[in-house]
Amino acid sequence: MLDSKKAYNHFVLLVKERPPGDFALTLIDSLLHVLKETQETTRQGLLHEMKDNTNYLTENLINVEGLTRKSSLALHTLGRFFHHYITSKLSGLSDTSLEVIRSKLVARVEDLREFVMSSRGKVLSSALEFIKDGITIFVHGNSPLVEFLLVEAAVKHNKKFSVIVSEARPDCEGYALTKSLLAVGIAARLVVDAAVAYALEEADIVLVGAETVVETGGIINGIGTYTCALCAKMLKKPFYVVCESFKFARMYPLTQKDLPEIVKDRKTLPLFRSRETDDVTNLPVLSPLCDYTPPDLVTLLFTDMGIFTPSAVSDELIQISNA
Amino acid sequence: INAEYMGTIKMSNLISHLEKFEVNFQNKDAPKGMHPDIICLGHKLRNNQITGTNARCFAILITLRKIIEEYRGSPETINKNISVLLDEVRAYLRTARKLGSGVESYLDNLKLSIFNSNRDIGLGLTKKLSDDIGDFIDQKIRKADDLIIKNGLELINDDDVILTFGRSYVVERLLRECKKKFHLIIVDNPPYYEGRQMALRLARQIPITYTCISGVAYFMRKVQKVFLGASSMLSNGALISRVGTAMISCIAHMYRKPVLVFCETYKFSEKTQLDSLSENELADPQALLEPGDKTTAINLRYDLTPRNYINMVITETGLIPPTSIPVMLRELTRIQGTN
Repeated sequence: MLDSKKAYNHFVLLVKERPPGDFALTLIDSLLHVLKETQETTRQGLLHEMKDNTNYLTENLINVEGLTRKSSLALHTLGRFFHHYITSKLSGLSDTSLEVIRSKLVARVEDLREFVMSSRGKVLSSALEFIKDGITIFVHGNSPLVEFLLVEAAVKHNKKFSVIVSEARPDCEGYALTKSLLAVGIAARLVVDAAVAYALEEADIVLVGAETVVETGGIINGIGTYTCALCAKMLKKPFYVVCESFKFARMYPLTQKDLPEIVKDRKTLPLFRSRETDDVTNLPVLSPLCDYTPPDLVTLLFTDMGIFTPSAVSDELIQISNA
Repeated sequence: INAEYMGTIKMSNLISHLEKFEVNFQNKDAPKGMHPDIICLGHKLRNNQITGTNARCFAILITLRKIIEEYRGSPETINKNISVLLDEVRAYLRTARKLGSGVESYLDNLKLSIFNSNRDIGLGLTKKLSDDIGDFIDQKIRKADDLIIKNGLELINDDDVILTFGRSYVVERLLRECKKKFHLIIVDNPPYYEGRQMALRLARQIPITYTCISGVAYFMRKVQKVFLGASSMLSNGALISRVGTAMISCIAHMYRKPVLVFCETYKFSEKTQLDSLSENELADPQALLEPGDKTTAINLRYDLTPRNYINMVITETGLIPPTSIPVMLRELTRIQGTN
């Protein structure tokens, strides 16, 4: 009996148990759970079960409580990557016993899990030399990876730098980031979104995370990132992106209209946070969740596989899909 | 020494390294024993009766296959004879018109496969080569075009305004097969006005605006996407296409409109080139002038569009950025090597 909801149910459970944050490991754990407990007796059956579970999980991520619509995009990409990983490993195995196949697959997935878990540390080592003493870093939004990077650099590596954080309305993620940076002694200042160009004059580099890195080498990230990138380009400030390599997706947007449906519209999420604007909720709005930053605005990408220029992303993607 | 004289020297310095257009081709004797089909093909290529990289590649390979199949020499020396025949045909066709990098690299491979063939293969060689050519046409041209069109159909949305330049076979087929409602702007260029053919063929089903290059800046604001064909694509991501393409891409880039190039992988070349003039083809300068006009005219066939003006390349293997062309070449050679 094929249960395609197994991974999804397990995922919901784990999300409740674990502290909020990045859900990449949780996704892999849920799929690993399915793999370990599979009752299938044929290769095709196993493949089918994994495929159904992965698809159901990635398509219903938006229904999971505690998960933002934005993170579901990154996880969708990870799900695809996982599926591709499994399929190519499975086709490479010539064993006949399903037990052996299953245990080899489990071992490979656990390798993948290790890889994902260690990706943060690797991104840190890629990016560290670009965080020099005395610089001012401009950050947009609150990517957990950017937070990790800055905190580690200041605490473990004793780097002395100051940070300007933009509010990132309407979710106002910037507040949380500023607080956590101040807590470890980094000189952080909050700035309104409208003052991005103003603040960039003082900044030396711009640092953002990414929900997805697309085939062109551009990124899809929280709304406002494109604006920062355009200002950075005009003011000749380097624009750096930090992300893990499992966020590379074979998408190819040309314009803002080509973004995936899931991030084009905030739908029912509140647009305004201020109490004064409560009576304007009936106005027609254009409320995208994410925007697309083209590759000519991105200077470098710091990933767990090394430092990439935007054009190298496609090379990597072609290699992954042909591997 | 006056300004006019200096002007002529300057102009000729620009193109003096390019092969001059030979006016009297008809009087050149074809080598003895050259197959009449090849001579006919040479004239057609010369007189622009067959234009477009795909059409020329197809015509050359079909004719070549025919003469290989008609080989009636001795089976013992067949390897050498066919190799020599290939060389003669290529040399003759080159005097008519340059073949194009895709065809040249395929014919080099063909020669290599003759060299690597069994000594005792005998008349089986003709079958082997004929099959090889047939496979190439089928896989790299026909099926590749089908896949490119399949990929390309997803890129057209309802109410789009699409701009295209000149006449590309793949782009024309794509636009014809698309069932969505869109508006087409066809940009054309003297002296050959290839866009007119495209306009005539598509006017029945698609609303078309036809203009020349001088009008492009006016229309570019309203355009959603620019669709271009290719003669070849180079390893540094540059596009070699009909002269005028570079200008269109430049204007599109200025207005931040996406430029999409539709190109089969056989057109990818290992070469790199930085500007339009270092390697080009000169066509008949008289085509640009009124009869009896003695002005010096330069009729270039191709130009080079740099990589940063191109947003996406659509090939049969998928959608890739122009920077990934050497990657694709590497992967294709790797796959070919394992076969």
